[in-house]
Amino acid sequence: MAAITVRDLVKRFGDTTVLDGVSLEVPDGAFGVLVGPSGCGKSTLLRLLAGLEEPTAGRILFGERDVTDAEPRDRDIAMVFQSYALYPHLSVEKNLAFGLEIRKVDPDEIRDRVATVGDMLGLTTLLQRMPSELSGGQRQRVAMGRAIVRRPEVFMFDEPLSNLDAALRGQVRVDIRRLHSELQTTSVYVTHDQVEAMTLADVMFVMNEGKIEQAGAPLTIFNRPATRFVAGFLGSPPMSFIDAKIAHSSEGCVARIVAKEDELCLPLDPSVYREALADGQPVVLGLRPHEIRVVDSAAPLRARVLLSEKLGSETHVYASLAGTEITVRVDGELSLQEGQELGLDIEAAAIHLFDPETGKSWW
Amino acid sequence: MVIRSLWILFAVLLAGLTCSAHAEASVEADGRGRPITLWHAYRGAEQQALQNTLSAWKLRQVETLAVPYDAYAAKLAAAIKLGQGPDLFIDAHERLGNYRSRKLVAPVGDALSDPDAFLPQAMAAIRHGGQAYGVPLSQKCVALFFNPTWVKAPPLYLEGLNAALRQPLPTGSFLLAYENGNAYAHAALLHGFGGRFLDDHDGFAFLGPPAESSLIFARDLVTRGEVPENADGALVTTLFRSGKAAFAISGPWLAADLSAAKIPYGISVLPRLKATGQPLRPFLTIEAVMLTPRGAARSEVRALARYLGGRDAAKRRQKLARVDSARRDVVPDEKDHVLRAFRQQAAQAVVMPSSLAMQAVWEPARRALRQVLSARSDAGPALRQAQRRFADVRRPPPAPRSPTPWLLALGGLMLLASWRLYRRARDAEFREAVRRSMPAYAYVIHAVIAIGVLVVLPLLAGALIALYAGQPGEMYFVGAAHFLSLVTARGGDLLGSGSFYVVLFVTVLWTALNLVCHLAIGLSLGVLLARPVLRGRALYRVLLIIPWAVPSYVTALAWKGMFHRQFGAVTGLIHQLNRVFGTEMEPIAWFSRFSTALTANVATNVWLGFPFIMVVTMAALTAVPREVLDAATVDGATRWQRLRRVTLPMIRPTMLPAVLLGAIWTFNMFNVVFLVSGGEPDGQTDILVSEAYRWAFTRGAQYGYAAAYAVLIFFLLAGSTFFAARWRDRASSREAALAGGVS
Ligand SMILES: Nc1ncnc2c1ncn2[C@@H]1O[C@H](COP(=O)(O)OP(=O)(O)OP(=O)(O)O)[C@@H](O)[C@H]1O
Ligand SMILES: [Mg+2]
Repeated sequence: MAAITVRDLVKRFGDTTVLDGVSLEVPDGAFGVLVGPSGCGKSTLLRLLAGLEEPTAGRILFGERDVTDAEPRDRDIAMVFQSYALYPHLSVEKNLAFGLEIRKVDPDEIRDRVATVGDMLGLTTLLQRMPSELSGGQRQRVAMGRAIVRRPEVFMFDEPLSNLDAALRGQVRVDIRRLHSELQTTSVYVTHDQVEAMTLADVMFVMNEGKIEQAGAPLTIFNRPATRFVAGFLGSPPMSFIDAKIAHSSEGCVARIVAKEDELCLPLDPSVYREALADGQPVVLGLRPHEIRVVDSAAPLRARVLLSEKLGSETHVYASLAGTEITVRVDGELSLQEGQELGLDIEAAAIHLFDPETGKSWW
Repeated sequence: MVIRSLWILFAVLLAGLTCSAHAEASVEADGRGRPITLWHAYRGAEQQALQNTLSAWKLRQVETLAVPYDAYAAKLAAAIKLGQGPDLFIDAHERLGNYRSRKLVAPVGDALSDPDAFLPQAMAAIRHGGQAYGVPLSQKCVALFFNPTWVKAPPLYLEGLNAALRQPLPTGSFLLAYENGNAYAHAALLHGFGGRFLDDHDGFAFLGPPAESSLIFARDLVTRGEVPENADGALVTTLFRSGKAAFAISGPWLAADLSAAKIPYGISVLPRLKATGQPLRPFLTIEAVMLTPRGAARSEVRALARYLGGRDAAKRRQKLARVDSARRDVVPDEKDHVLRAFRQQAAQAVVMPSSLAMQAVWEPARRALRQVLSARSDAGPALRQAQRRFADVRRPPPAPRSPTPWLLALGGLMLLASWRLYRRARDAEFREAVRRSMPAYAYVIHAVIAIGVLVVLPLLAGALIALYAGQPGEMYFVGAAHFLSLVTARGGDLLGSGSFYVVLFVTVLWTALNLVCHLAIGLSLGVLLARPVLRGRALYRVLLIIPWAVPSYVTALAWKGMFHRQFGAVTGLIHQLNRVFGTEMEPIAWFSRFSTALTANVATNVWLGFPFIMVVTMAALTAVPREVLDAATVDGATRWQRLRRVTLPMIRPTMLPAVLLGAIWTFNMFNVVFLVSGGEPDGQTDILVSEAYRWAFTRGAQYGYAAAYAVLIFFLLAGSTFFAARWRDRASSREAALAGGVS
């Protein structure tokens, strides 16, 4: 077991910079999740950690050991690939045993360990099958088993659930969490699915365009997104953004939303912000759908319903607030007509403020 | 739809047949008005001279057809049998025996009005049983060429060539160049020693003291370094043209070549042998106009033949093509030393026998000659072996058998088949199944017909020939006689040279060696070139595919040249190595030992064959996902372990069919074996197909026997393919099943 430390990692393929100075730390035994949109460099970072690619600059440490220049086989890692990458010409049993045989583990011990892992993952009846004779979920379990049986210092997962259907994905997610609490092996898990990220992570890294936007515990990041990108990326349905200007008035600090037809003022809670906001400062307001409440239509804050999506337990309402589209999450029972006027109530403390230029949050 | 188009096709065919039959009839009715057709194998100046001569003949229009020399006799025979042949044709007299036995020629009758106008040797060549079968046109034989830079005057004796030099020759030059591995060229020496190839009763006469002395003499010329080894016509020309040979024995073709290049040369009759006092006497070929039976019946055709043999035409030929006329009254110009020398030489040449037996002499004689020249064998044993080979080839064909038992067996089989068909047809379920699949048959019927006509019928026809013996046109049924003779090694030693089993063993060895090398090189290069790390691999790919893109016979000839002991690139390399490292390696005589000759063949074929495996490997590798290799890397596999334990097993299902195909190609790789080693030494490197070729084309056209070889080859290949497929299915049925399911 070892902590993983990455310092100023840069990776270029020719002229394209894929990773642009990434630093992160996954504590010993923790479950770290890399999350970000497609193409942001998650897989590349993972492959660098595994030693499958060489970094252009920067260092990688496992515990105290600098492994930047070490061969993959000297890093003691195991990896689960998105496509599972099972050896198609070997039976399940041989697939599990492959890494151990390569490392010249004693045959008796190989048999024991394969049997144990087979038990653990419910593969016992499948051991003699070929990968082509397995379902997607079974292949996924074999891929996991192949990693577990090695008992490595570090586990790496590259979107291991993306080829499964929704129901199975939820179940395997729970299994992974349970396995991790049993084995307590340092893990790095790549996903673009925020639910996986939120549920699995001890420590989460949100990546964008080759950089880490924010690192920390999932809930902290969710509640206090450091940038507009992170705020928008996490949460479903996503946060709504509205351009506004700060105005100081007798009632305190308000955000004034100027639109063509009318003008709205939202009260802010200045105690939340580290810096005082200057009068006339342009800002972007971030509103999470679940933090907007629908009240009677006489409320001062009014929006017009554009579209509503009924999901059963809840309904997502897309509404126009002062000419900007926002999303509101309401109770599933509520029935709304298109074009209907809504009265809204937003708590001052729930409003996120971002710098329109840098995207940074005004915490 | 399909049915209708079939009907249309049928109607068109029928109409075509009727029309052509009609045309045939009208031609027959109006035979006298038909133009005369003349076939020849001339090119260049000789062809122009012929056209010029014909244009001066106004009696009737003459259609000429130039047929390539190699295919001449076969085309002629086929066309004449089908009634499509020429009225008259020009050919060398030595084919007359063959043509006469197959009734392709008729006596010329009044086309030869004044026999005394022709040279005696020319008349002797075309006369058979008191009848003249051709009108002589020209005569061709070899003579002695000399390079005036080195030679003062041509010597009287062959042993005195050295003394005729102005100064000693530099190293790397030769005293005399001639095609010493060729029985035709050796004939001059043999005759000089008083020997001959055939006796008066078509018996093998290349035996006894004169023949042995001629062989030993030829060998000593090589041993003393006076004559280059294994020289073919091209090498003789090259050496003489470049001044690296003081003398050459060659024919009018060399004279034409030198004159065209304006290279000064002298020419004289071949010298005498001091040993016997006799002159060297080359073989003489008479080119003559011959008449087909149909042509001989037409007076205007005979008139044309008479005209072509006449004085005026002969003069035109002499002037335009510079050939030596066969007429007494057309003598070479006083100043034309070349033609005068050839005429003088022809007068003391030996007319080549035209009997069928002569065809059976060449191969045994050539083998004996090469055995002695490369010092693999003494003259006596080599000649005795040649005699045995001659006798074997001349052995009377198997006696005719009645085909009745075969027909009965065939009839029985067909009866059985129809009985079973009948039984099944009574089954209502079967009838229903046939009725339901009728539309499907309509879709495949054209493919079935095409494959049947283009593949199955020729295959069956070829296989059928194996049950027949005799010359084309008069073949008769012999049953399984050829197969019996094959499997009993023609009654000789089962493990003796040329026995079917020995050749089969060589073929299998040849295939196995090639396969191993193809796979080793093709796989390594394929794996190397598929890796993205290599710079400029697109260029390497193109370069490495080139051996495949070049026609294989071109490659084979180039490699044969490289393996020449005296002039080959390999020898050059050895000399270079010796110079650099101060070693004393001897140049290797590649084709004088089985092991080296096989090595040369294998090297050539590996060069030709590895790109195929390489390309298939590269294609197969694209089906190996990168993530699987990454998984192995993470699992701790080294590059070699990844290759051996992941990549190779994964591409195996794709590679196997390619390897099987490669094995079949190699098993039947005629080009390389025939062109590189040519079976040397002594037929030991011949494989089954090249052996079959020899029976069909150099051993008196024993097509039936050759076809028996082909049938056995077919069954061997079909059988081993079947077992290879079975073995593969059993060994890797599971792997094969997933070949498509990799994800
Ligand atoms: N070998 C390579 N050569 C050039 N560019 C590459 C290479 N590998 C990846 N890239 C580029 O690097 C960027 C990041 O790729 P990466 O696979 O890390 O994305 P990702 O975050 O894993 O995306 P996804 O969620 O779609 O898997 C992409 O723009 C990709 O095109
Ligand atoms: Mg990825």
